[in-house]
Amino acid sequence: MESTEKKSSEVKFETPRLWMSPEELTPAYWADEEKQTRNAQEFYDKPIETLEKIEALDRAGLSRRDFLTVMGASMAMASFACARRPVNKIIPYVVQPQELTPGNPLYFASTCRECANSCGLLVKTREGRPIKLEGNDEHPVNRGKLCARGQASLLNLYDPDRLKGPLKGTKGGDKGSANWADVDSLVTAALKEAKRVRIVSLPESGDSTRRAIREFMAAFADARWIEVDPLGQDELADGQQESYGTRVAPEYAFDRAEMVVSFGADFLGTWGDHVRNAQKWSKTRKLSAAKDSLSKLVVFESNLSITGASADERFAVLPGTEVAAALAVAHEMIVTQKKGRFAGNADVTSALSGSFEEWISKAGSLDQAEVKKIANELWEARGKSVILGAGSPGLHAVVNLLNSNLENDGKTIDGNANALPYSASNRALAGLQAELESGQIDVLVIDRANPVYFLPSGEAFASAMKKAKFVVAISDRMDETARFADVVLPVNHALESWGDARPDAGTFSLQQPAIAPLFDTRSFQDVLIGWTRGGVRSSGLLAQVAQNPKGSFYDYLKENWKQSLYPAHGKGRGFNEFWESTLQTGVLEVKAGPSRERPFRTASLKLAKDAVQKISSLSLGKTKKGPSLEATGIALGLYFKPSMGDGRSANNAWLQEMPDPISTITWDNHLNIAPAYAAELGLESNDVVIVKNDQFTAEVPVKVQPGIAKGAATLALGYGRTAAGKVGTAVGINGFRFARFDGEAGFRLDGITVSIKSTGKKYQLAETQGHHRIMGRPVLNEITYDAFKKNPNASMETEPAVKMETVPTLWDSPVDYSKSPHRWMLAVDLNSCTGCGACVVACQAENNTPVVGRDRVRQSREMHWMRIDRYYSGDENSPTVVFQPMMCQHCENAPCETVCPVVATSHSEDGLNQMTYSRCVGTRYCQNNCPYKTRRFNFFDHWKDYKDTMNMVWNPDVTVRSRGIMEKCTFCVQRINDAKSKAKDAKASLKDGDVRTACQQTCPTDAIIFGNVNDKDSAIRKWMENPRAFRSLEILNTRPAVHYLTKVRNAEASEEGKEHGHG
Amino acid sequence: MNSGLRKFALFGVVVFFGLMVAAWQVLPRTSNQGYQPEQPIPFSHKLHAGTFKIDCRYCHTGAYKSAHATVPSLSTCMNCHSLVHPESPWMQEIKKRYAEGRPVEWVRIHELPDHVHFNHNRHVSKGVQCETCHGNVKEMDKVYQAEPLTMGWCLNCHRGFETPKYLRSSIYPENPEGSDPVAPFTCNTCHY
Repeated sequence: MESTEKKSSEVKFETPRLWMSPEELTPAYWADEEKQTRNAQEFYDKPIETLEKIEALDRAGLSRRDFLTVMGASMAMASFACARRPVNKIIPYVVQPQELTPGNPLYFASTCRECANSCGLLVKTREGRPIKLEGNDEHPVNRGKLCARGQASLLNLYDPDRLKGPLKGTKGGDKGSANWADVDSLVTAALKEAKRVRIVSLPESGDSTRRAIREFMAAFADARWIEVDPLGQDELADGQQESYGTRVAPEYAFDRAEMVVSFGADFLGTWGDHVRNAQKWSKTRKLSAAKDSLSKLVVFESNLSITGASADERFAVLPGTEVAAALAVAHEMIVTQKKGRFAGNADVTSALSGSFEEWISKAGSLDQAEVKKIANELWEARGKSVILGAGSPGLHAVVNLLNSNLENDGKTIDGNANALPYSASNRALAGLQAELESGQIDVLVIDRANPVYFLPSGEAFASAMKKAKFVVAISDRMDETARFADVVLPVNHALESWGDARPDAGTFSLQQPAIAPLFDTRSFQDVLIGWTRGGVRSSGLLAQVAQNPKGSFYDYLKENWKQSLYPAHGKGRGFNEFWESTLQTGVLEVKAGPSRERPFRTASLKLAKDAVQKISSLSLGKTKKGPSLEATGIALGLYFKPSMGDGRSANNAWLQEMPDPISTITWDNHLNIAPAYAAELGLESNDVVIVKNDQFTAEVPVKVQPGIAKGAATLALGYGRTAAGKVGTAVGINGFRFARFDGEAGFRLDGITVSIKSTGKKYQLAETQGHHRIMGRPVLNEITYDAFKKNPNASMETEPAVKMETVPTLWDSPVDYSKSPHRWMLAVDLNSCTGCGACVVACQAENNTPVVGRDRVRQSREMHWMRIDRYYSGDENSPTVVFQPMMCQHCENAPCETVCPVVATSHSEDGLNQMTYSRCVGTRYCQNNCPYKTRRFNFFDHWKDYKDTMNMVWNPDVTVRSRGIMEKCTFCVQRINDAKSKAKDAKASLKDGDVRTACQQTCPTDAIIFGNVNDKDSAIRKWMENPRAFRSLEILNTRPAVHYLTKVRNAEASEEGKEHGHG
Repeated sequence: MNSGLRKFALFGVVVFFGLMVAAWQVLPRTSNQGYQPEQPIPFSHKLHAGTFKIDCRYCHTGAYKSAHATVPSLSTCMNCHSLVHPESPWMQEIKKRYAEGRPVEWVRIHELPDHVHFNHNRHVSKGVQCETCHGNVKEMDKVYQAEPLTMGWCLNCHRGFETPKYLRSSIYPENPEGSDPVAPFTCNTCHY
């Protein structure tokens, strides 16, 4: 009997096309009845803890009955206690600012300083508080878009862990609070004596700040300014320097590229100017009836990034061996096929000596035929392709060779017209550390950079800092580096300070404060002015501004613009007019000339050889299975996440709780190991292992992650902060400690080998994907480009097999909305979506969605109204990935509405599924009946976790929900109502584009569109008429308002008609 | 039924009604109608809006451009009162606060729950008179909440059941006697 049952389950097993975790590909998973029962239950997340607490009370002698009695009595008393309404106050202004009307938002153009890319911001303020950041439509860097970190940087402003005033004390010891006069006199006394001064800061591109720092340094005999950026482009700029003679970070024209090949660069997620990159790249990914050309993206990478997930073809390589893959492509193209201007060039040929097979084998086990094909395809797309990489300068030398050979340089790659010299250099920190150790440095000023955290030798740097005579840290919190300073000066948030930025040669961006400093803080520039005023010699404009007792950096900025930019770009206007109009748009755009091709220096290829030698010297992937599991020689790849970046905003709960796009894990970093390799090592997800190299040892939980090369493991950076604040301290482990760092090679995140040893312990990672099962239902469509060209309507697996008319239905279907003036719908282009998660954070900021914390995420109680589902298909070791943003589908035949016993959820006449919080009694029937699992329930009063200043971040236009209330995406109904109101004020009707939802507004790739389908010319209408349009789970006859556009992958269809991966 | 049990039942009924009355007195009301708190400064709407016929919107400037009608800032008071009755003790208080930058903390009377979004601009621009919701403020020395401000009360107007005549005839000039809805009443008009 038993054996026949077993047999039948084996017979039934069929690999699901879409899967969420590799275990779903094994018959054992589907045969495991306990797991299956658990998955089938909606409410398996029973309030276990609460029950346990009650049982504990039982054991303590208080019976459950007593407990209920006490509960009842306290509830009765609680209801008596609130018998009178609270008396609320109206506190008007003493003098109301003329431009401000309480209740109406004001917008300020500014510049995002969360990373060095300097995107333009539009800061929405209500009654003087910034409540939402949006991209500035007129800014050339981001054209209205923002990434997840940019969106979340708003919360940093209200971080209660920010320093509230200056501190003084001893290096590494206790610090007491001080006032600005105290610390200024201490610093100026030290500076007056000083000869050797060093300033370490994050990259500053703004001309005014650069000038101020230079003028400040001019007074010292030996002053140097070191800009550091863990997220920066050091190796890229070094490679450019070697190959082309100028140290620049080039600008890439992805919008003109028919083919993009990336060797490890996550250019859509974290690498370089990622918002601009994603936006440009997505323009080549839009498919409609009118446009059927599709670019091709090929990615060689060690970690599965969102760029790799969006790739048409992806190759998993060992971390650090991207250079070998690039050499293989170059060898095939230039040496074997003798194509391009460098064919036959003796220097190049000798640099590429060695066989194609040799290069390939160094990079891991790549499909040789596929790599050869890529070399051919690149040649076909010469002048219209982009090749880029992330790794050693040697890799960049090969990438530059390929680009020059394909004549891309000057066409799709701009290295001289709009590209600026790249000023940051992490390598310089090694020299500084040596100088500090020798005790030569008189004053060290560290502005916001956190080298003690991000340097692999952070402790050594900290002890070197102690040898400097005087250390000033300018920081927004008592972070790892600030602890080793003599005085800590609290710094403004970017939204509290004046400044400017120059993201590229032709863009001058102004940073305007949107709020007065919340605490007793100053901007770095104002600190410099204060020191100058305190008697530190300086020259030029800095001295001039400091002379005026009220002079601030605002005056400096204005004067500098008057001197430098106004004469050429004033266009005959008075300066004030020029200044105010620029301030209003937030940016001054100057047309850069055409980019020119640069001569490639073949000598730079020597770097590539060195890089290959370096990886050859590592003994990779030698597994030794002893009595306790131990593996040595595992290649460790360190990577940045779109959420956490380099960890500078680790105390930001929005970012901590944003699920990683690939692993969907929140609140931790983890060691990613491929399924087959993990099986070989005997590891499973959530196993804790000891990861060790000669620098650092740490216990890390394992995540079995498809798409990673055998012999490799990857670990996210930005975690393991020890002094970030209440939220970010001791979350995950600090991957930077494994990185390589020396004066010669600089700061390197690859080419690291580690050993792994099992501890036998388990750690439950808080993963969100898998909280809901798709039960084999068709949720989305994918198709290959070849198949799409033949028949755009092919492969519609979501299409119901039986025509809807013949399916018995509860509802009068379809509902006629044609008489209503509006019928709101939303569409998502799966082909453009990169899964970056900007929409998730934008939605959270706009809709007051709370953060619940790691434990609640483990119980699948995260509150995000919008999630990005990540599905794999194909082979478990080299899967293809598809993202599906999932929010309330606003079904016409909404299953939630029919089961609500109190009609708290119902349909509006313009097609919205509306959620009336005040009616909701929290039965959760609707959540249970929702096939898309988009409804979220408040198990707690999460808003109570928002402390002090954090309460200023709430959007007053959206109700803050309390415990026991169901909530979900509203299609940003507050924005719809606001737009309607504005249209009525203007006595006009709503135009297409007047209402933009928060997710749509921020999406860097324009993958989301929202609008009124009753308007025949609306963009949403055009998207719905696209042959790729479909609705998720159409077989259920829910008739969602959300449409998706089929994912089209520019890869050949394999025999089974499925897409395939490589690796 | 024996008399003991009957007595007990009677006692139960009395206690039950007693509790009901107590609850009626003590438990929170859905409506705050009639609420008339003391204000920190005894500002008289009767004098300003009634006797002197100052337009409501002179002080409540937000009413026709924002969701909030807004309470005037002290500088608005000072527009007149730097010359009018500067010697009055209340004016001395206002002057002092104005000089020190300390606002007056008025007690809020008309207040909707947080899950309701009311927009003054939409109503005022449509021609709803202030008195329709706020009562005859021109006669109030001390302002109180004249109307219940409950959802039913809102809907009675929106759905056209108890829409004031002046409003209906301005919205449906051709049919001032009908009973058509005058405003949307779908949930997310106000609840979101």
